[in-house]
Amino acid sequence: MRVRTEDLLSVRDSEPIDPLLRERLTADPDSAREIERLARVRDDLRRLPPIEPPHGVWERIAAQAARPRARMRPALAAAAAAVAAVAGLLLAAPWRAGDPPETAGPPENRVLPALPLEPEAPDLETDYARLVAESARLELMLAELGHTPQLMNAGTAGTIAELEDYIVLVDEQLSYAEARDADPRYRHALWRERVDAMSALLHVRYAQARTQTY
Amino acid sequence: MTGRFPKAEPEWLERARRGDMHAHARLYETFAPMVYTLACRMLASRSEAEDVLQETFVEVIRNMRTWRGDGEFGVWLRRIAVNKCLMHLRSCWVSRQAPLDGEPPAPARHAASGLALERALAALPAKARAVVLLHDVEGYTHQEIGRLMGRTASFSKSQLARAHDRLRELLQDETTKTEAELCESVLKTC
Repeated sequence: MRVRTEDLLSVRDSEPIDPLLRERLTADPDSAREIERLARVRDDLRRLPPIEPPHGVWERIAAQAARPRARMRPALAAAAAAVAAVAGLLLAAPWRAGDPPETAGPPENRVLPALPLEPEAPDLETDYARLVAESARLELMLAELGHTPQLMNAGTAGTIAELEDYIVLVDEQLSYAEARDADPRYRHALWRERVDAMSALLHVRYAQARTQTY
Repeated sequence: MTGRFPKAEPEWLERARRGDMHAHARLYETFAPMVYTLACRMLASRSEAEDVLQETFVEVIRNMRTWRGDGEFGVWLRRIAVNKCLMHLRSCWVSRQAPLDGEPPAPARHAASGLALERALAALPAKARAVVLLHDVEGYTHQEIGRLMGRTASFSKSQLARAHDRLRELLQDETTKTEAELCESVLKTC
């Protein structure tokens, strides 16, 4: 009998499973042993000792908490200006001709609190999955570009930092929206925002990588 | 799963809600190991775990007034920390700057089986490691994990199964090493 670990874990965790399958797995000595082993691994994971944090972190926390929060709009405006500045290089980018990110563009008017929500549409879920997949594709492309080089124009470095900060902010909002099961239209808008910002980042990184080769 | 959180004195919580930084420092002392441990194991990187620790407590200080006080503080704090960890895992440039398999956390000194498990856990792919920790250690349901990761409950289930399959292989490899070898290799990472 081919036994799936997923089914063994369902039995271990008393999750809903076909009663006949449960009975078969618990009656089979090999499966029963494996379920016990999986339970032991879970218990061992829970018993792993705590790891003490390093010294000096609290001081940094207190200092950071005392500073006012960064404002996003000026940062995005600067990022957008820099994206526009490298637009000429992007026109010649070979990857763009084959697979252009449709949503790329300056995000200066898309500050998080004012994200436009899609009207309730039957294909929202499909589009949501498309955005998640697109986000993963862009991450892969960014990863393929490799590390940000140490030497680069200050404006480009600033733009990259601003866009990365902005994506971190979107991610933060996304984590909370998903944890709180927020309005699907809002989560959809956030994923769209993430894809747009990552496209912009990819544009800048790609243009910067091209200039490095000359 | 709420019984295993450290206890916070109601007086300190109330003072922290009023913005008292001494009270926040007390809360940090009580809860920092919990947050740091979670982050170290989820991210398998000391420097990223330190970032998560810092970001989590900065957010606590800034948003303490929004905590309604009707639930356990540790649960609220853990939710913030988990979100921060997932945010780090989602951010590709962060993982590029600090390779997840290049800087494992320094495990505490304990039994060899614990050392082996710690090493095996750090060797898992990032998503699988996050799922196994959230489900098996933190007690999140597959539904909750799927939602947190922008995926489905089925995704969480299959990641958990893969994580356990891989853990089994890794732990079998570890049994062929002697305890001395294990300790030596772990000490090299400290």
